[in-house]
Amino acid sequence: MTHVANRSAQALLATVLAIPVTAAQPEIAIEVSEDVPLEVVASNFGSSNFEPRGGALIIELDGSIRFRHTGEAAVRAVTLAVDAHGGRLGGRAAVAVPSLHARSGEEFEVYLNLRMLRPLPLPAGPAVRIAPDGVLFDTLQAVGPDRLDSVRKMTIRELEARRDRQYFLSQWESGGRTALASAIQASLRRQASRPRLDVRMAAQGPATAGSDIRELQFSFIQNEAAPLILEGGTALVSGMISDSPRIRIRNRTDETVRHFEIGWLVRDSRGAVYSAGTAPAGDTRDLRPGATVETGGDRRFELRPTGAGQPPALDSMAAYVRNAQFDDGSVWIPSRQALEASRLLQAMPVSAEERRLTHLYRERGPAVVAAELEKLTGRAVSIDQ
Amino acid sequence: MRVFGRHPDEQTLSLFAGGDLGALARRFVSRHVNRCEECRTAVASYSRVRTEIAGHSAVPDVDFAALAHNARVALEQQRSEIRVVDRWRWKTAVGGLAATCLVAVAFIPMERGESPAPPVATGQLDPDLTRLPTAFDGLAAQITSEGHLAVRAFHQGSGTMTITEYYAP
Repeated sequence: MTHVANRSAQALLATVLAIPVTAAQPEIAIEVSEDVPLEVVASNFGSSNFEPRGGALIIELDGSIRFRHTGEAAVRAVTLAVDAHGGRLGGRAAVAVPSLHARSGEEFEVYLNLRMLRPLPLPAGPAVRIAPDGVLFDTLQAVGPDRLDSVRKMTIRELEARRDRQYFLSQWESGGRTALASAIQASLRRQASRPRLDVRMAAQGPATAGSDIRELQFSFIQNEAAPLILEGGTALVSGMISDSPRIRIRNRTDETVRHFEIGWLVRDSRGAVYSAGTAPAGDTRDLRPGATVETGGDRRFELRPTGAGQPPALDSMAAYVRNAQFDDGSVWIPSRQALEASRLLQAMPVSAEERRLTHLYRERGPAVVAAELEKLTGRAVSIDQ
Repeated sequence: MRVFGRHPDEQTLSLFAGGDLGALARRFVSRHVNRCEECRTAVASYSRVRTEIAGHSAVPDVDFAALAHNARVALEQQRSEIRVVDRWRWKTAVGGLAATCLVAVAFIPMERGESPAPPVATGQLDPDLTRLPTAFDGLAAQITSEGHLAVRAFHQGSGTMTITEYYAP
């Protein structure tokens, strides 16, 4: 009774004096399914902020979770699904951490820093649920619910990482510290010279319905080893806004391609080339041998170069096969040699691992990169070279 | 449209904020707004919302009717708040005494740790309502094959890379 009276008094006070009542922090739940060999050791989301605005709660999720690996094979990557009422914009996200090396019994930390939205009022229960969606081991086996297609994405990143680790390792083995430093500096120069693009979702409707709407034809950067051939493509553009491109693709192998990603490059009218990411595939899945499909989707994107002022318009677009997954789960990615030969290396974004290793080099020097390569490849690297 | 009453209605104020009123109505509203702090605040809020919306490209599936409703509700709350504060000014002595008593009753148990209360909206008209998650708003993002957006970031200190994907419905 006293409890109720006190609450009423607080509410009355808040109403009369218009003082916002300080609310308790909404709950963040971490749930690990039984098939995932991870144990939550600790979590800290003390820096997170929950701010009601009108009919929505803006969630600044800032914190970390420390897991202990209770399985056998070393954990190579983890993807956490973050759900704050997933049906709405800003309600669902995934946080992936590649290039881990957590052996059985070891602990590792996943850092989360993202903003989400969920509608008010909050129902009973946690405001945010975090759960491993997939865990990839160094054997390339994976476990987890995989509701967000995490296993495929982690596998592709790990294969790209192995390719690029091998490249940097070969530099170290052939020319020691000098050669590794030279290769990493070349990568850093490429990354620095590449103009960055900030992509946003653009509204449907009049954005590309103006008088300057145009249909741009795609050019293609083919890879002879790729299981797919790009046969033609267009996108409707207006200024720096583009609809999801429509790209015609043929499977030239005798295996079904379950999933593929087509890299999407754009050039503005000043001649700068940017990576927009991956052309949305739409509903195209399970491409049978010899079959042709067209990518699509109803999304519309605004492409904003970061830094310099807004260029007037998109000038041209190009596409390339970024990866493909066959029906048996195996994955194809382009080789480093093929990327260098096609000059794609100059235009496409570096892999997450190359980015990480070059960042490590810049922050901590070549010896740390060599140690990291040794740890992740299992090959002995002479740090004193 | 109502411009001759005590306050122009919110539709009129929003049109005025956007420069969309006719010449005569604009003149009336302008005279009122120059005198009325409450309406001036509302016009400023509408202008901020317009600026914010212009600055952030719109996204699919945003329920603009709900957004407008939220803005209206928040504006009403803000007006109530202003009126309450005005009243409080007129009755400082009585209110102060009542507040002192209520603070004594209300805040002592709060410090002992009450059961969690649901968040309470502060009632401010906030143009940030239209802001989107970080990936849509500031950091460089890339399109994924599902048509969502992904952002890479480093955790300073550990050097860990995280890739955050934001899913659009």
